[in-house]
Amino acid sequence: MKEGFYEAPQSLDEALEVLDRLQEKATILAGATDIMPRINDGVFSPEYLVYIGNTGLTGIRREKDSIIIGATTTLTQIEENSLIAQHAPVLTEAVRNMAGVSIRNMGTIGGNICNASPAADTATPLLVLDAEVAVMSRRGKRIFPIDEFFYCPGKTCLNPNEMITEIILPIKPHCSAFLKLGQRKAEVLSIVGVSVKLVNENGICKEARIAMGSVAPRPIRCCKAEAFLTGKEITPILCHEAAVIAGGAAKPIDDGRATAWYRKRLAPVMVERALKKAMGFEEEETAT
Amino acid sequence: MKYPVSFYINGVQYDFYVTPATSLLSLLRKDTHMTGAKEGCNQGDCGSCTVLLDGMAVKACLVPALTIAGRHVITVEGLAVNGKLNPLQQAFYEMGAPQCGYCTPGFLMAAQGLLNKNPKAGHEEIVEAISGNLCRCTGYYKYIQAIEAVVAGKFAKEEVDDG
Repeated sequence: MKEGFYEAPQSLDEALEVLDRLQEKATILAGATDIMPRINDGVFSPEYLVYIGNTGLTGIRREKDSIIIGATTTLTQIEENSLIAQHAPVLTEAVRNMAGVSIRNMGTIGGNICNASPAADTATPLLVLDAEVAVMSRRGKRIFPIDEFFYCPGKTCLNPNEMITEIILPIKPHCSAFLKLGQRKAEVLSIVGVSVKLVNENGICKEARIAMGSVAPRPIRCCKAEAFLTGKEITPILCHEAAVIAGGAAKPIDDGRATAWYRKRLAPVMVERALKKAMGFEEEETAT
Repeated sequence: MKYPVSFYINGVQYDFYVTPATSLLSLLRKDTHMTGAKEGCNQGDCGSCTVLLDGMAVKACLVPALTIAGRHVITVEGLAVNGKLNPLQQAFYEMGAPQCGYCTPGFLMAAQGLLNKNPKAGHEEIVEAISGNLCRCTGYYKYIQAIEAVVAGKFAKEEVDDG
């Protein structure tokens, strides 16, 4: 196995300079929880590991009507943050259901989305929260909706000289829910993961967001179901109908965790449960 | 290419010269010969390599050694003070929690990580804290009971002679 090289820039500017110099040769390292298993297995030998843990991108703050999460903020820090628990509880819930404590202590939110796993558990909450991603290179900064970030497994819209610096969550009143089904409760990748967000004014749906993970090559939004809900009075039956439409967006594959057949049937069930949970329609025991 | 890195293991500063891909676990086991942290899966799944990094439970197989310069690692070898078992170790021992023992160091460190954060952790939190640790003898229940006993103060620290 190649031994490879290591860079640990001590500031954001320095990191951007290193990325600009190394381009495709660089593999950005933050919490390492997704890269190390592949390195330990010998299936991945990065030429340059660029550790960005010392570049000052850790932390959560409020700016006007937004919550700004630094890219190297750990999942534990997100789970324990009161600002996020108050204004984006769907993210808190998702993080709480990710991996286990000792992985969450190291894994970062930037890393979770940059891996672009279809099963990334922070992806669906960020999609429904209309999160934006701030990306920097030496040439400057760009900010775009997270929906434009994911391409396919392992592929994002990041250029080789770019890195995520922040994730921006708008603060506005809503109700939401996250549900995940895995083979057991902890330390598993989801078979299907679902996040929903509803802006409900006097029982009428003003805005709906539904996102599903592990059912397509990337975490997806279910725009048809969102449009179907918008403007209607939210009832349990409407939730069911929207869930069926959302399920139509699922294009799953067979893998070690479940079959496509199962996922296709599971997706609408999970969406329906999530919508009802967000609305507080029933207290039924749901698999999370 | 090898790079220098220094950090603390059980309070003692160590200097290493390692490749970027070297995990904390392989350093502990192969370079310092502290074999308390076990190499089970080397994938971050089994938890048998759990150690504390600045007091938090982490999986040593997932930590690139170069990234922890200046930080403090505690392994199972660092739990006992002056040969006196710490409360968790004493509880595991007296309550017969370990079976084959392979996963025990990982369970101890995961539990210690929890107690560092919340010494009054309840049942749910305990189960959550050890959810990343696998026991192939499937002896989870006694581990949970032992940790609960420590939380309840049955193995309090006052027995430890600080002298």
